[in-house]
Order: sequence, then C-alpha cells, then structure tokens
Amino acid sequence: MSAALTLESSVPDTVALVGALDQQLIELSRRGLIAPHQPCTGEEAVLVGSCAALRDTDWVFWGRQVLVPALMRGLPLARLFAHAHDMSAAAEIAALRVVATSHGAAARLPHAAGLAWAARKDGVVALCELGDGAVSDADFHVGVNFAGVLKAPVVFVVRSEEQECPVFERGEGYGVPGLRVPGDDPRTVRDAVAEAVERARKGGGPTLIEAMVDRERALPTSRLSAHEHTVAMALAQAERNRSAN
Amino acid sequence: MNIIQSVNSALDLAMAQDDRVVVLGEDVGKFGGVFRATAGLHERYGADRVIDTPLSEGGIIGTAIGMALYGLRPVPEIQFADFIYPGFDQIVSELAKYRYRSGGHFTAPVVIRTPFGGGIRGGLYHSQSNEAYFAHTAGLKVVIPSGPYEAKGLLLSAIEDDDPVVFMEPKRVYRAAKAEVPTDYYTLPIGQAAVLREGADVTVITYGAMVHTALEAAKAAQEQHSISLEVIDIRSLVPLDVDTIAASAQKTGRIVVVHEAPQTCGFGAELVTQVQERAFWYLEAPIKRVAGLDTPFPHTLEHEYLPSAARIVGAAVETIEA
Repeated sequence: MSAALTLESSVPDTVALVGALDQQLIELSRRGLIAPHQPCTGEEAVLVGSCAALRDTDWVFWGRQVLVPALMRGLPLARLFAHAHDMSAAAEIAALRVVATSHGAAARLPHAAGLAWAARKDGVVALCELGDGAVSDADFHVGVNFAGVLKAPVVFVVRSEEQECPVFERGEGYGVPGLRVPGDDPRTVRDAVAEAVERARKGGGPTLIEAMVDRERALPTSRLSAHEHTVAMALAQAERNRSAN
Repeated sequence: MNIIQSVNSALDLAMAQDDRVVVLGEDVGKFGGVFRATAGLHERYGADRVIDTPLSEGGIIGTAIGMALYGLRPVPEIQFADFIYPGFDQIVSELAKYRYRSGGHFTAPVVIRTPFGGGIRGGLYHSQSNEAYFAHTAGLKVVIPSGPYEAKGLLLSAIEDDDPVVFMEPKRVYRAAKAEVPTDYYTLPIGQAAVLREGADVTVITYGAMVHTALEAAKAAQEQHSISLEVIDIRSLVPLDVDTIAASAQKTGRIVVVHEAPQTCGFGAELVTQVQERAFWYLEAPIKRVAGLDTPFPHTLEHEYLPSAARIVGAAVETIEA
C-alpha cells in the first residue's frame, strides 16, 4: 500500500482516502468509541503532500494524528483504527520512523533537529510538521535555532492561516530560510517540500515551509464528548420535527 | 582522583569505546566545561562529538532526545542543576515518556549530567538540590554519586543504560573528595546502596555531598556520645535499594534521613515511608529528618541552611532518647 500511495497519480487519491478516514474517525470519536480525534479536515493536502516528498528511510515528527504518515508507510487500516481506539499500534508506527507527538505544541522541534543532525551523514532527513499555534511556543524558537546552528537536515512544515507576521520569515534570524506555499494542492506542497528535503540531504541545512490552509473547513467539533453529541443530535432531531410539523 | 577527574575519565573511556557517545552543552567543547569535567575531550574527539550548544537547556535536552532516537548515546551537561528548569518539560514530558508512548520502540538513552547542591557560596541560583522533582517522574533514573569512585562507575553504568538517567554531581565535593579510582573502565550497578560505615545504634541514610557530612557525624557521635552510627549511601534514588535500607533499619531500629534539599516533599519523605513499610515493627523511635530549610537557598547563611554534622548527631541522640 505504501508504495502505491506515493505514486504521482495517487497523491490526490490519498488525499481523498485520508479525508474519508478522518470523517470516520471523527464520527467514531463523537460516538465515544475511540479516543478524542484531532481532525485534519482542510489540511489533508499539506499532510499528504509533505509525506509524499520523503523516502521511507526519512523520519517524520508528527503533530496531527499519525494517520497520514502511518498509512502512507503501510500501516494496515485495521491497525490504524485499533490505534485510534487504544494506541496499541504505537510500536509499529514508531518502527516506520514516524515519531508521534506529545501534547506539547512544539516540543518535537528540537527532537527533529537533534535526530536530523545525528543522521546527517547517512543521507537521512527529518520532516517536522506543526500548526501555526505552535510558533509562539518557546520550543519552536529553540528547535529552529538549534537546526540552524547545527545545519541539521530537517524541514519544518507549518499548517498556517494568513496572519500579520508571516511564519515563514521567522526562521531567517536563525539562519533558516523560509518559503510560503498554497496548502490546497498536495502536488504543490510535495514539490516544495521535496526541494527542501533534497537540499537538506545534500548538506544545505534546514528550511521552514509555511503551507497556507483554510481553517473554515477544519472541524472544531473533535472534542465533542459523547454526551454533548447526544444533546446536539437531540436538538437537531427537535429542529427536524419542528420543520416537519 | 577527585570527582571532576573521575567524571572526565569516565567520559573519555566511554567515548573511546563507543562512537555513539556524544557530549553536548554550554561551553563543554573548547572551554572544557565550567567545572572542567569535559576538559580535553574536544581536542581528542572533535567538534562532532563534543558539541558547544546555544544557551538553552530545553534545546540541549531536546536535541539530545532526537540524537538518542537515532541511536546515539548523548551525555548533555546542564551547567548547574538550578538552570535545568527551562528544560524541565523536555525531561518530564518527553524524555521520560518516549519509551512508554512508543510502545517500547524508542528508549531514549540520554544521561543528563548536572552539578547540584550548596556550600560553595553560590547563592540561590547555583546551590539548589532539586532531585525530588526527577525522582517523582516515572521513566527517569536518578543517580547521585558521593565520591570519585562512585562517580566514575555509576556514570559508565548510566551511559550503558538504555533508559534516561539524571546524573547529579555533588559540586561542593567536586575537588575535595578524593579516592583511589581505577584508571580502567569499570561499572557500579545502579540501584545498589553502599553501607559505608557499619554501626549498631542508629542508621543514617543519605546521598551526595551529605555522605561526607554523615561520616563526620558518625565519628563525632562515637567520640562525644559513644553512639555507633551506620551510614548508608543510597547512590541512586530511582531505582532505590530498599533491601539494604530495610536490613539496616531492622538491625538498628533507629533512623535519621539526611539531605540538603528542602524538607517538605524532599526525597527523605520517600525514604521514611519505605522504612516504615518494611521495618515498622523494628523501630525503637520516630524517624528523624535532617534537611535543608523550606526557604529559597540563602546567599549568606548557607551553613545554617545545610545539614551539619552537629545537626545529624543531635538527631541521632534524639532517636536514642526518644
């Protein structure tokens, strides 16, 4: 599955599959059948495009649910759903060189810089994915600074909305060049990340990529508890009943 | 050798034997470390294995974690234990939990070396004993040598260990404590306490620089009060050698627990609990704690703040008279 999913023709298909899976996981979490799910609705193209730029020997430090890189590197769907339920695939996912996040928004950035530095002579690159909320966290600045100082082969990809102070410019002071790409086309994202990844692989150092996403399409309902969802369903039913009458 | 020399010797031997061992931290490279513990390593092993980092404890520990995930064995130095707090989240939320949250796949073999403790006129930001924070965190080992022989053998064990170790060095006795130390590679098991002086009347349980104060107290108690103190150096807080402690408590029935850290929720509270769980029916008197005060570490009155031999003797006498 992993090889097929990263072929040129299948990148949009992977985006569609990830979107469908995401909806399933949202639904399961609303029904209280799995742990709370962080949806990636509206951000699938950035996630899939970034992963599609990597070799299987590269490492991934992941902020969102590990669904995308794990799936693209061949984790069976059944194990993916099991993991959403009880995290029982943690070791399998780790063995795919997919490093799952803690709840710290930016804590993984220094890890990615350190790993990339350690791997620099093996032609291995680290990809570190994060949301734009994390760029205010001290560890964002620590991680980008260490990456710049160590010239570590790491690429940071930020899912970002338009804001006054562009994220991609924040690495320059640390010697980390940045660029901004639209985040709605997976192939555009993949090509931009691939260029940065190959530059890093050749010793060119880290890059900070800001991929613009439309958060209006991201669901804020992921943390709806089963109870709240029941209430919401009841209200919706009441509304339908009223309309029918 | 003193402790600085024995730590330096351990790092040198570990780096010579294993290419995966790297040292990183503030001024650990060309300068050789603020206490000289890494002196000469930069010349011997180069800038790729002895890395001068930016001034950021979170960055030092965070990048060490990443290196460890890839298979290296990083030994980061935090210049003073008082400075470790900016890296606290990386230690507690990340380093300590990588093995657990990766289903056992990642082990994060990082050894954080850091000098701790008072008695050097360092004031409130160069004197703290914050070991209890780390002992409280599942996933970390906390190792504290008292002298040069222990420092070298325990540090080499820590570097061999697949799990993270917080290795706290008692800086007050960095140069004052001297001992015969083998120049060759040797290890001491982590989690094994040492009975440094056998005694019949009262057991003193302690670690780090306080071991020397306790030995001084044992001499004074014998001379002044004809009380025989048994002195135990626990050497590691986590894992804790409860068997050695319990055996001694069952023998003497009287316990004094000593540490520099503030008393409230200090590691002494854990030692007291372990003793009463294992040896309650053998106890002849309430267990005494001799600890630092529940205040910030003072600038001028540090020798009033720190447990002294006289305070330890006083506590031992109280357990006899109780």
